[in-house]
Amino acid sequence: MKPALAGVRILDFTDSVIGPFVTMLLAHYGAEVIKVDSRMHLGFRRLGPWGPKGNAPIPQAPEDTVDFSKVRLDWLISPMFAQLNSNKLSMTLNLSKPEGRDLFKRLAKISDVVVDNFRFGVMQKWGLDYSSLKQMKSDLIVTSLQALGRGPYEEWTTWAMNVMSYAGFTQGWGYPDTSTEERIGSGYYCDYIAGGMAAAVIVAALFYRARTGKGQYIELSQAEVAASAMGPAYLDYFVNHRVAPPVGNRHRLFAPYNCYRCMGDDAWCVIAVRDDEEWQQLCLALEQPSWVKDPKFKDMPNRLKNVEELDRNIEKWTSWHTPHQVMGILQYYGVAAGVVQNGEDLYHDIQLRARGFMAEQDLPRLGNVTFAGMPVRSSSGSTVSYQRAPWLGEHNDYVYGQLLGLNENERKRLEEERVIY
Amino acid sequence: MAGVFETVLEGIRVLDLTEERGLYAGKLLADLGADVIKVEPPKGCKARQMMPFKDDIPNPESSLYFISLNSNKRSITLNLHSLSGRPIFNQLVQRADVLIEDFDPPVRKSLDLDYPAIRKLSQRMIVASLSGFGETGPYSSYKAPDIVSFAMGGLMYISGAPDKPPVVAPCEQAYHSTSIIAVFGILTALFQRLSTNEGQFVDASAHETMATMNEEVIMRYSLAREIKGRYGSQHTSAPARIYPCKDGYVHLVVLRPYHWRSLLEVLGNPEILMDEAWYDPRFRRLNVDMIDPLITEFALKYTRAEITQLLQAKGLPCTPVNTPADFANDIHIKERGFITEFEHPAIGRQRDLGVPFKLSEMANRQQRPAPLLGQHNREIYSDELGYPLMELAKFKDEGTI
Repeated sequence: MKPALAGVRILDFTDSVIGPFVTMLLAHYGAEVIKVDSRMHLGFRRLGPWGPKGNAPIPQAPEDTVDFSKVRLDWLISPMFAQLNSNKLSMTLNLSKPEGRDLFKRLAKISDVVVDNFRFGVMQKWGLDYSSLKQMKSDLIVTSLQALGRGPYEEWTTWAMNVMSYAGFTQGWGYPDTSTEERIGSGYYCDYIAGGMAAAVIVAALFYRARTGKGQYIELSQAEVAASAMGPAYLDYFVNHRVAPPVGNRHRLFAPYNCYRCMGDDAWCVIAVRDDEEWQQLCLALEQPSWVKDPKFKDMPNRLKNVEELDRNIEKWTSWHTPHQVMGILQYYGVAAGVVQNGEDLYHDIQLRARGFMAEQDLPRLGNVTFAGMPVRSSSGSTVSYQRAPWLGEHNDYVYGQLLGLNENERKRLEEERVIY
Repeated sequence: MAGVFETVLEGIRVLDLTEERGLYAGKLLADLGADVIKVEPPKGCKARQMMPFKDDIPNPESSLYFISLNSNKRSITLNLHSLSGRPIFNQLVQRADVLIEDFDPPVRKSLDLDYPAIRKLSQRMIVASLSGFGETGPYSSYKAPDIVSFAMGGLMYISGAPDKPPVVAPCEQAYHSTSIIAVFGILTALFQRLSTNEGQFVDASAHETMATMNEEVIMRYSLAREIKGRYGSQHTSAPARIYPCKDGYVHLVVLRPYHWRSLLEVLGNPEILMDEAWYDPRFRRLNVDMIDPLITEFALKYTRAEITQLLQAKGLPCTPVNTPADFANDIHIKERGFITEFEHPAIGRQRDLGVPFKLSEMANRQQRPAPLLGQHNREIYSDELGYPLMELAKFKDEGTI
């Protein structure tokens, strides 16, 4: 059977994490995703890490100061880029040229969805915003992935970490005594959740279009997605007029519920006991039957009251076990426990391996690299194979030749004039 | 097949059997306009016991956790374990398009809610299971509350200060992420059903979801046997972290070569940073001790607002570090109308966050507040399925609803 989105064409004008993650999800459900690439803006194609070989194989200087036409195409593919762009096609197109923008419009005409993640104003400046593109194709779905969305700060430049800090997420991530400077705000987490949500909304719009014949404009604000991820904390602020300090790994309702040191270097596990039955099972697993009857620990209110002593007792046991031993023993007894997995643990994770989660790509200079795969699968809608992320312009023949029907001379001229660039 | 639709998921009915991991999935579908019916056990969904509560007084109707994650849904009560409940459930299934559940596998088995059983009742039904580890594999029967999925996924290990234990994110992010990813799967299935007229099974694993959303740690290990550690807010580039300023903190992220060029201008082109080598983020990170004092000295002269304005004007990624209070009262958020209001029978008139996306074909709707327990029993059982009120009273006495 064909995958769910077979026959849907996506014009992907995105970079960084959020946009490529959106279109990667769509690609794995069978959509044809055409990446609009350019040497004018190499973005994540040249972002590290570059592995044991060290420095990037291409100059780390602003694009306008280097002639990238001389750089090897197959080196313009960083592992970060490869991770987020499997199963897509790439074309080169320079939108700073008027003719480039015309070609973009011609492509929009034969696409179903256009996705961009530029800050508000960029697509408008180029005349490629929804109102212009809609004239090319009335039922087009145009999706603008915005950091903060249209409004007073619409022109701000941001990365995922900025957005998480702006949305109140960073300040809530830490221990009660963690200084604001050391709260967590280093990752791309909100790119991933906002990307997942955008992919969902795009498919909802495709579904709507199939039923009504209407396209539409979707604007998604990453900051609002990040705030929504803290929904209960926000409602606590609105209703109880307070900003609760971060709680670290403990839970206000359950104990023991924490992260514990294990045997090994920087080795940790988590254990989460959420009722008395699980507590009794934990005592059994730790061979501490007397704890069950101990008035300090016998029920949840007492365990919460004496949580410091409780956690110390448990850590005495976990310290003599590896995280994987803790998980294996406790889960056998019906107690929720897990390994705080690092990259090495995940690489060898037998659950992920057994389910065929890993994706592999063979990359120039770097060899065979293993990546995280797709987070969801469906009985008939998803694909299971991973095609290597495309070289810059790898599918120019298909796009300019087959889709747009340009002849050799025209293409040559456009290449010389750096429209196809 | 044109028609008049006020929302993108108009006319799609969802049975939401979730207790925790999938609550947000139901809410997201409801926000897109689906008719989401929360099927709760007669004593109420587990989330009704969760903190925080209004004024910290525990009450199943005033759990802010529940209210936040169930707006725009309807609620009915039904005991899925009871013999008399099953035929009612089967009727509900036959009238629905999507079923979402997040039971532990043994519970799901005991309730006979596996996909083949549902498919027998309705071939067009899309069943989404949000599980801890997925349907298959050696860990599939393991228990996975949020912190377990978060730890197993790899994001926890790299989160925290270098000298402290790893720390989980606030507000059950493994549940939240898995919900979003499951909704993506559900919608592709709905789209596909338009041409196949067949339902399907969507297998969303919290473990896999979180393994996708870490900082590419699998790739890093595969590539160079690198094990990423914990660095507080410090990014792998520099300067890229939270810095103190006059009245709080700002988050500055300098990554790309043109960012670095702008930053040099702002700092007045300091001689010690003018070498070409500084354009490489790796090099900057290795020598961050030479950059940080200059940034800190600069930042402490200004307020959050001043420094953000100054650096944004130069195209530099910089934002204030906000609390929920700062964010909710920020002029940008207010002007976008992201903060909405609702009226809830138990907690009164309150503000809340709105929907984080705007669709040109779907007007922003009035938020329907989260339902009271069984608030729509009569609407569904009596008005729609045609059970007489007398019988509803009997069902209630027996503990069926």
